[in-house]
Amino acid sequence: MGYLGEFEQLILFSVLELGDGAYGVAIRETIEDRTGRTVSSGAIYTALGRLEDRGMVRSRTGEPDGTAGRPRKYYLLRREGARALKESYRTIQSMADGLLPKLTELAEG
Amino acid sequence: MIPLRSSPPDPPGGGDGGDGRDPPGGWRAVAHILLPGRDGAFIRTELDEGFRRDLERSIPVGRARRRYRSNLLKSAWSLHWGHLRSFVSSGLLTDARLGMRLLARQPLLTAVAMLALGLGIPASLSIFHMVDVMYSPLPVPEGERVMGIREWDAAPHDPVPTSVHDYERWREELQSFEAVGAVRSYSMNVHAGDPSVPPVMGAEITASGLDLLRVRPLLGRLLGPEDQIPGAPDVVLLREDLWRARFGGDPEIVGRSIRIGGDSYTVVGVLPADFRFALDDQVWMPLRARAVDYPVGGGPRLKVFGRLAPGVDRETAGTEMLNLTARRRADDPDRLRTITGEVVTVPGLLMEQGEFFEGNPDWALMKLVVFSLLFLVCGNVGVLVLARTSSRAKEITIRTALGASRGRIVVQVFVETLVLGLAATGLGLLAAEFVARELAALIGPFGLQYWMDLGLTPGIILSALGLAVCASAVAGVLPAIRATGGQVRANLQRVAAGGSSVRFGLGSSLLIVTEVVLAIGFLAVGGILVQSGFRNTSGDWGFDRDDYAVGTVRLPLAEAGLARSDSAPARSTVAQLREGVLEELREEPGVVGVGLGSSLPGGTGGGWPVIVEGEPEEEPVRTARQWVHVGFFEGLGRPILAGRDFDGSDVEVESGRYPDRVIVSTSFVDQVLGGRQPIGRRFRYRTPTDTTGADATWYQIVGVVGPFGVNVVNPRRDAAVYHPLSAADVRPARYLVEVSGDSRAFAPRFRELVAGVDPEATVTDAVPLGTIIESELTFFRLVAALTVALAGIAFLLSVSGLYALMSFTVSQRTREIGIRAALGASALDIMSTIAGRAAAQLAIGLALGAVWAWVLLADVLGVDTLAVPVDIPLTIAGTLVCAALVGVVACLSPTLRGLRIEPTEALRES
Repeated sequence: MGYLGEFEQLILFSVLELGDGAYGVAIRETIEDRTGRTVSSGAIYTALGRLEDRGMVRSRTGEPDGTAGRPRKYYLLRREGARALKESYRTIQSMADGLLPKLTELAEG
Repeated sequence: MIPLRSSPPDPPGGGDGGDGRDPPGGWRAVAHILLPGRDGAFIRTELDEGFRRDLERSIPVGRARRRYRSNLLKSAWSLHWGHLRSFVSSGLLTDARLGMRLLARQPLLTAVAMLALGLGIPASLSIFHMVDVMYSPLPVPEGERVMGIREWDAAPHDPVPTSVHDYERWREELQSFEAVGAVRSYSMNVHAGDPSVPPVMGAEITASGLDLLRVRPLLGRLLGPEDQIPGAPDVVLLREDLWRARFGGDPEIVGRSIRIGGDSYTVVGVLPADFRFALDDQVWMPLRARAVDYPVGGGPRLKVFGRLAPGVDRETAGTEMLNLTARRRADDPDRLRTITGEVVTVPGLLMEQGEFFEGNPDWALMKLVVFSLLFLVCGNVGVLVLARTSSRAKEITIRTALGASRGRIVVQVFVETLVLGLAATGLGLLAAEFVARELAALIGPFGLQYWMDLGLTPGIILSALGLAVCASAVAGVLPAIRATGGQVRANLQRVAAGGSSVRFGLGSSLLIVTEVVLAIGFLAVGGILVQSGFRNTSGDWGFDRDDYAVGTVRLPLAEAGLARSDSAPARSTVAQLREGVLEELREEPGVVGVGLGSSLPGGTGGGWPVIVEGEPEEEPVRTARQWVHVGFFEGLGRPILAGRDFDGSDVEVESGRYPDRVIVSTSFVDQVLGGRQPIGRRFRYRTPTDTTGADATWYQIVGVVGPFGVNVVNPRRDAAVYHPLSAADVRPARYLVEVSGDSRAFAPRFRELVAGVDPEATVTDAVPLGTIIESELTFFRLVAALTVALAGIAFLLSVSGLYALMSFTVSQRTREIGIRAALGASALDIMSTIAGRAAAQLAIGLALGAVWAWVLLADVLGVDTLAVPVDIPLTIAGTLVCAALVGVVACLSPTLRGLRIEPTEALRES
């Protein structure tokens, strides 16, 4: 199934949330809004390219964006990707299960 | 903190390119380069859309642009990193890796080389960047197409004051501009009933001016042509931050009446906080001056600007303006001989500076500075690479003997140097960005105008990288060619004997000497600027600016129905008010002296050329023309050094005419009269609007006073002429008050005193003199700060080069030193072996450096024209001592290291 890096997980969650409207700028905004992290368009684009190579997402070229007239690339989560994402999420949850209080104590002194 | 460039918000309904809704053009070009191909095209689309969406989410334009830039650079890295990874196995990258390992093994040399490139290249570029920054286009839509229009007098290198007549003529006749406007900025008291608040900058501006700047009001409307008609209701626009701060952000502000000075104005609109035209103004009112109301050349002084017509460029407009003035000159060739019309950037217009261009000696000097710095950089790096290459002599020679081509080795060395160069330059650029921000904070709000953005631009980054590549090529390739040259066999023999295939000959000596010479030149200039540019004390000006407060009183002529009148009732009203205020001030405890005059100490010189009777009419000296009340000098305790002070006979209150008597400053006597006896001499002014010399007024000198800060930056240009001013004169005048306490605290008291004399009269500004002087000085401080920084860098480069070379020499001659020590040579002998050559290079460098510094300071910079007398010999001596000390230390350390070498170790090492 393949291991997912942290950044790849963020992207796939974004794609999941955005559904049919998952394209570069929207994915970027979703990640920034939800996590507060700034990510570059290039990083997203290349990560999506790798994920597509691994069969986790599928892309299609959609309608041009409003003003500049250039086509957008939309992404959809495939079953393989959904499985990998679910597994990653479950793994983290299992690892972290019951450890949050201790973590909070260490982190905040 | 420092306002960054930003555009006003756009109208709803979107906009097309060029009105701020697209990312900056330069960066889009960079995006095309950094993000090529199909993948790059998709990413670029995303970048553009991200920018537009940021704007839609009300992220300020400046921040949106920064996000675009950051996103672009990171995206390029992401895109290309994949390509780079596949490059790892290629030979070039192996060379680079080898290069990096070598860098790590010789940390000192590496550090010095990185210092040279990382500091030197951005520092050199910063000079050009500073010029770009100072003359950046206005932060308005298509701001680069808004230009200033003015006339320039080439003789004293100053702009010609622009009159209402000039404005109307240019508005009518210039075809290159689709719209022309005029503005004048000054300090105003804006309040909602509490007159003790500090004044703000405000402007009188034409409706056409606001229109062409394409500003959109947040509330209400802009000014219209109907507002400019004399007698129309008094209206005003406020800036958003002023509206919030002084009027509580009142949502009903439009239509509300506020007070400015003594008058009521109706607010008709609120403009965005980031609109600061012209001089960080917060208030705008209609400009009502018309040419018909004034004699030719009279009236208020304006700044005229315009938006270029579509398809017209600055050069075309400049040519038209040149021709326009030339036609006028044809009517009066003598008077207008040195006047030319020009089209300049708006910052150049507002700062009243000449702009940098080919032919301007300042520009030539800047280029000299830049190229010297770059030479130092390349020289340093070259020396270091040579040294490093030399230490690999054995390896190179053997490789050559084994058949490696010269080209291959040279490429290897080049790539290694390139790695160094790019890394260093990248770090240097980051440091430059940091320094720029700190410098901006240092200069402060007075020096840094709202249009100046000191951050990095695409041009700077690309130039820096280009220079790094060139420097690496020069510094890397030449030594490599040398190292691989010569007879292979001879090299092998030398290498076997423990020496090097590289000899440090005349070339490297010349390099070191040149570096020392240049560094001394830089240091001397820096020393001068530190002395004069950063002077805060005003002892050299002949007075202490902290002792003075300044107040301007708005005459209540409008209320008395006497607006713009020169009639007897008007004069009587004014005289009464002025005498009343003077009296109050004189009796006020804490006031040491008071004077009334048209101008103040703390200016930057004058614009009135004079022609002395009986003297030839070439190159007239520019003087500052001032009007002072009869009791001015006595009131402020300024002694009359020759002749007499003004008295009642010098003004005729009834007729309003003045006998033509003047008092001049000592600078006037020196510069205009060559130090000759002044009393009784006569002169006239030469103005562009003079008809013929026959009708000009001749003025007679009756007295001489000492300097009183007419030009705080350049006392050489502070020749002043003081005309007597009657208290009844309706011309604007300001009170200069010498106080024994804190001049800042005096302002509210001043307002009270004036209100006590006449409640209708109000104080339109009351500030410490220091505040006004500060703003004049900061432009020059910016230049000084930058040059001192460059001087420091240049010196550091030079010294580090010397140190590194010395260090290397010691390590190369370890064996030789060891043998000599084993044979019984004394410490002194060994020291002279090691350091003798370097000491000679240093000594020659110092000697030549002293000469170079003298030439530079006395001739090229014209140091005797700077603000305060600086002692050139002392400065140069100080510089030499500094340089010698540092140079000696640079030589000493490696030398001492050499002395500590054990003979047996030395012999073993080879």
